[in-house]
Amino acid sequence: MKRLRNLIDKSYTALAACSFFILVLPLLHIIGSIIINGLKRFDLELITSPPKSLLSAGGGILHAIVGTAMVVFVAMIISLPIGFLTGIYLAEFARGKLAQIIRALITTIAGIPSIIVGVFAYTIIVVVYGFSVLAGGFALGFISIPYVVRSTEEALKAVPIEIKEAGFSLGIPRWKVILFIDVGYAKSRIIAGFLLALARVIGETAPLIVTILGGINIPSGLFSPANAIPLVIYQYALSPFKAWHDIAWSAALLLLIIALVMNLGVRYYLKIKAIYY
Amino acid sequence: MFGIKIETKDLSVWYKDKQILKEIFLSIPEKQITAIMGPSGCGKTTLLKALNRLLDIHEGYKVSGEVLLDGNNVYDPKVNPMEIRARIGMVFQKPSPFPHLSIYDNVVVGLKLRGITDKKYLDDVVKEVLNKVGLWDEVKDRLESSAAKLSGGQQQRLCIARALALNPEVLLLDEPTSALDPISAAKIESLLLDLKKEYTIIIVTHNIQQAARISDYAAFLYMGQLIEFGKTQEIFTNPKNELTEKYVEGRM
Ligand SMILES: Nc1ncnc2c1ncn2[C@@H]1O[C@H](COP(=O)(O)OP(=O)(O)O)[C@@H](O)[C@H]1O
Ligand SMILES: [Mg+2]
Repeated sequence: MKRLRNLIDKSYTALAACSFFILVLPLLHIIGSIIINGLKRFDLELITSPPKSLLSAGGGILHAIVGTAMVVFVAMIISLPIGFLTGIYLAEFARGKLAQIIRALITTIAGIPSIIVGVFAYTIIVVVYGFSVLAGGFALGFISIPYVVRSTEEALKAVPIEIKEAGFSLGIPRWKVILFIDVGYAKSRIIAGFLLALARVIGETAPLIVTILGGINIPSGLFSPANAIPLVIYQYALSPFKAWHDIAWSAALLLLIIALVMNLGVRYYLKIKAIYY
Repeated sequence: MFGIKIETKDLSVWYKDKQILKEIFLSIPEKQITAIMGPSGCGKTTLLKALNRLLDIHEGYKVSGEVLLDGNNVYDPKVNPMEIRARIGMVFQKPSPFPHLSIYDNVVVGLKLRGITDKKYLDDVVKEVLNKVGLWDEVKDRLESSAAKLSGGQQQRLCIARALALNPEVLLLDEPTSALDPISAAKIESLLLDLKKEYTIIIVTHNIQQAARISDYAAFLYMGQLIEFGKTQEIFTNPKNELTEKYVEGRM
């Protein structure tokens, strides 16, 4: 009996270890390939110059870096206020039917495949203004709304009841308690949520294909077409040129580093903030 | 005899279907310390929050009866609960300074959010109330640092200062020393004895000795009912009710 239990114990441990490796090995493989292949063209030119021309090998991805920055900026302008206010509403006011509807809506948005959001942006923005930073920003903004809503809501719900009561006991109106006491208290977690939402959409590719078009120019404004780091990876990886493959790998490495820095940065930020709470 | 600052008349509170306070008649004398004693869960905190209408911010409570502040019912529909909360300050069991604000801002946040921005006035208030709670000399060089870095006892005194900054008439304290070490607790007790010259103080405590040391009047609450109320000395030396006697003798 005991031996059987031992055996079950051991095989269970072995199984767990196996599934861990099945999970981790491909991840290590991906990260390893990105680092090894990405280092070849991971130079200053990559981040300081746009492509030389449509068909020649040299140059970098400055156009895509600027494009990503602009698209993500527009996305955040759209999703931060909407997501933040919705998060406040759900955490502080939500009762009854309307709250249920909003919650269901947010869950639904979170479940929409990003390409569909891209097509949606295409039909309402690209059709009118053409392929543009605005269209891409709209798509990514839309996609990031649920993340902002949830992180804001969770951060506010974590505010201790004593803090809220202490706020109210100063004889100030509810909206001021929420905005200056609750949000103030929760602000580092809310900001962390914003950054993670941003990190989440920075690598989105599919919705950008149908909204910003790509190309080799540095976007000049809200209504000009643009490229983006993930889109460059996609386009260059599909090209027949070795030199472009190398740039795609390097762009992937850059994206990986950005995501890593943001995630670790948020963790570190929360850790130093946590000392006081 | 002293004037009556707060009077409850037939005050009952329900949470959902459960009656937490049962027909409380209580007269709190002005500029005295009144202690509210009773075992855990008997309704002490609820009683305090009923006085400054803090129960209103939560769902599920129902209040009936009257709470008279200077003779006017605070539950009158014409009354703005925010004004009541400004006139009746409150300090909580767990020291709860706002950790995202500086020491300075913790003191004046109530004033600032009530629209007072005169820097000179705010500076004066900070100095005055921090002096009152005996914190000024300890923190005057780091007013801009986070309130979360203070010790527990300092935090609780800061919370008292935060309440005093609004210049209230009444100060409610809900077991303000139960989370503190004996030395910090003693500091707060002597502080309260100072403050009663200017404020009407109601302190909830389940520390019987504390009630005996600092209060002038004492109320004994048991399962939502006011069992006995009177001069502290009377309550302790000559209780009229058997339950009160058992409680103050520590036999409960
Ligand atoms: N929000 C609430 N939810 C559930 N029960 C509550 C709530 N508020 C008060 N009560 C109940 O009311 C009674 C009195 O609570 P409280 O006033 O906190 O007592 P005390 O401060 O004397 O310990 C307790 O039995 C408690 O369970
Ligand atoms: Mg209590």
